[in-house]
Amino acid sequence: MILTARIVFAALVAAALELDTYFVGMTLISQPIIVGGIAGYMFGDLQTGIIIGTMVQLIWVSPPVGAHVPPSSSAIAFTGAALSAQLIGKNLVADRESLIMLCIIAGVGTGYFVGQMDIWNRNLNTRIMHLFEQDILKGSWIHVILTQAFALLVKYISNVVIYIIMFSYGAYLLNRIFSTLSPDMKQGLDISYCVMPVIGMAVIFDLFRTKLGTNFYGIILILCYLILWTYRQINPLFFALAVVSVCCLVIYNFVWDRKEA
Amino acid sequence: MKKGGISSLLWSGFKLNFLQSSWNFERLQNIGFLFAIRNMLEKTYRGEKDRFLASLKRHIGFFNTHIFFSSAVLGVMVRLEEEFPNDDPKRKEDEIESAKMGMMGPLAAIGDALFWSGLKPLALLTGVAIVWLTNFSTAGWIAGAVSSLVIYNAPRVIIKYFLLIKAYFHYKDLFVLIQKVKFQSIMKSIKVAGMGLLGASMAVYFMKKPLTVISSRKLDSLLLFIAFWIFTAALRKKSPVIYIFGFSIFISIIIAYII
Repeated sequence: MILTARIVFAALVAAALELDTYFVGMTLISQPIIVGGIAGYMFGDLQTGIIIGTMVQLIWVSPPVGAHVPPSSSAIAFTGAALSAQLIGKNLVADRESLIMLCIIAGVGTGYFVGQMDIWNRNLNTRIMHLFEQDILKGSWIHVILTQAFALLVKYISNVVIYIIMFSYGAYLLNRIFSTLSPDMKQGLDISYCVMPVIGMAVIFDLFRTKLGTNFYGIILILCYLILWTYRQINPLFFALAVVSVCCLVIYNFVWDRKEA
Repeated sequence: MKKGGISSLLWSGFKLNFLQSSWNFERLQNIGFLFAIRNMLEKTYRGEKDRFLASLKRHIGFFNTHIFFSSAVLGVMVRLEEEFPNDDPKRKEDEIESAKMGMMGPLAAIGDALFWSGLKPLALLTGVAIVWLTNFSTAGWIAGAVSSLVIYNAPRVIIKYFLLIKAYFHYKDLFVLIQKVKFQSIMKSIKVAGMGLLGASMAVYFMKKPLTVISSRKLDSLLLFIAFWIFTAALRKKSPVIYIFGFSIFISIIIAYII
């Protein structure tokens, strides 16, 4: 009973956060780094939620430009974190990473399906607009609000349904699937668990690639690796401040201080 | 201001948060824009029902621009609706329509480059780097999330309302003002900062990740670095991220079976 209430509540929260990805505000509160932690906290395993949020975050950072509908990174992180947090307690500690990876794969499926549902919603929005257009043109304010509200409500309810299915039946199915995986398969998932953040970093590299930036990246990578190798217990704040200061210095000298030709 | 108050204009600007709520494939953000501007039209044409209905018709047409830069279009549209003489409705309609169409494209291009390819990834990379640096601790997560939100939302709110006010009060000089802003240098700065941060984040991840593919951490880092360059090359050739994701899992499982 408590678990059912928790699943329903989590689905309501996840669907509300999902609206921020594109439909209302776009304030970033729906991003995996945030929703991963929230999902983990709601299902009693905050740290797993944080890990999943940061793993997924950089991979699906690409924006929704124009009519392109990307998969929902929010759904990927929330589903992955909610499933992991539910299943980790039911399995061996040694299987933690492979289980997290399997949950992320399930999350990716959900994220792509939610993206596909957005396309259906947008087609439905066209019909709703046509339905209310004449009343809107006659000056009816309520029909403008109705068009907006109806679109949001359809999106919200469909997401709630998907999340409830994934958090309940999805968790059950995934647990059954995981128990049938061979040790080699689990080890393979362990390896891909290490590789996932690297995909995210490659995505960011591809977005920010410039000649100056690439050189700067190489120098910073080598320097930071050597510093961290030498001083294992470095103060995070000091380290972050040092990196930001170097970035500011380079930007000032190579971008803003250049004389016009 | 003529008939609408500044508070009504700001309220319209706030309603732009719902610009994409009923996004549709035919006219994109049209209902969202009408939802935002309607209260200003109502004030402008109070007691002039025919003109008010004509203005609704003008703004239910195709609309598509960047959500945060749409405030500039809103400000200019409100001002044109107020200022443009009503003696020639056809000319008014044409002028407003061409002004709107002329603004949407450039603003969308600037907004997409600045926010979607610049500030958003930079803010999120900063957040992720902080979480990695603090070993996935709760305090680190809160700091990372707050940093991301501030880096992204502070410019978002400032740009949105600055453009709204400027577009309304100085609509004729709006593009001169926008041209003065060194967007190329800003974008270059964001990208250079992002690359520096990425280098640092990568070093942190290689050093602090809890699991290693092979027992030697140095060799492990080297292998991941090779994987990184393979993924980068694939992305450069426009391979979809989902293919890379699936491929990396497939290869990982094969490696696990081999070793």
